[in-house]
Amino acid sequence: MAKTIPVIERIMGANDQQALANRARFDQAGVKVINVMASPGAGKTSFISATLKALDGRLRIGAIEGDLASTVDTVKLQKEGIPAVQINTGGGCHLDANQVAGSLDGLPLDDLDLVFIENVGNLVCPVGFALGEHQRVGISSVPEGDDKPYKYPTIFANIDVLVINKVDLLPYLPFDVDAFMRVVRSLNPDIRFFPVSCVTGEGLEEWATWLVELAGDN
Amino acid sequence: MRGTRLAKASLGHAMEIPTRAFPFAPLFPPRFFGRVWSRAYNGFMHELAVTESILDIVKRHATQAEAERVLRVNLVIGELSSIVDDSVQFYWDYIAQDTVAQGAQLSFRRLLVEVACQACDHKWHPESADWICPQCGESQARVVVGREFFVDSIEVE
Repeated sequence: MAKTIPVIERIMGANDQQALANRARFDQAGVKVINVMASPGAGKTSFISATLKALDGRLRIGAIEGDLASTVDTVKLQKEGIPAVQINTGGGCHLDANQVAGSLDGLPLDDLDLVFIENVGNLVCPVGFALGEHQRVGISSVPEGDDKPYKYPTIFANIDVLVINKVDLLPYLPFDVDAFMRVVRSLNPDIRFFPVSCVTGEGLEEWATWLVELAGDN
Repeated sequence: MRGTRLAKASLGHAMEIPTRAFPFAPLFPPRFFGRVWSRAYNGFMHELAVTESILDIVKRHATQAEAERVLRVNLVIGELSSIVDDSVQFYWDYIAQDTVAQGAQLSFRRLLVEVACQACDHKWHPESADWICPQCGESQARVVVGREFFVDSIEVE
């Protein structure tokens, strides 16, 4: 005899539980954690490097680098003096809370104020997996075009902060910043924007100041 | 044979999937790259992790109910959950083999996105990406329905 059994269980429940455990560990260490999500080439790693420079010693930062393969980004950040660990997803399109948990022993969390988790370059999957972060930061870069919120609304609706990177290229490209921000705001009224250029340094001081305030909440 | 298994792919042809390593890692022959590898970034990998979670939940509840087999799994998915039904079904047929859920049908109940205007409380189903209130013109919408993603029930015998 066939029978129906009610389940009503969230499919992401296991990931969410691990994310809560990660969050507890971050809070205990007194470190604020930022999940950085963007497409490949948006400038995630350069932005973390530029942030280090802009902070100029005001905060101690570390990084967790998620990529399908290689340690290129980790080595790059370590050379600049940022404690960094690599997660290779072996083809996986996003980081999950369990992978992040496994990487945490590689970072001196107690000696850090801020940790960037650089997610796998992808505008779709990372947003579905909570990692235990305090803030979700998306990066859109000017060469990607201003139509991305139409194509990938979920990520724009589920981040706290949007960095508009490579604004030094605005004179050369048909990217309408106001229209872009208007669409993103309609999806996400509370979002905060930081237009920056990691080449010229424009906008990075505002961003660094915001980070110092965020870390000050510890 | 342990190590490889022939799976019926939703792409319309059978393919050998290595089970030792990550199924869609670069072990795939180059001729698949255009068809499969390019999709891996936008969906397949993501759905594999998700499908494994579904199987864990289903197996646990089936065991609790002392079921001999699972006939059907009823899923509820909000349209904002970035889940592709075909990909989940594709992985399901593969990973549910040799479990209590082998052969179970997946049923996807999709929930339309519903948003509410924070200014005037109007609720609507947006049809475009810019969630501008059709009633008052404000852009302060919040999601009411659309992020759901859960196993609603299973049918067993």
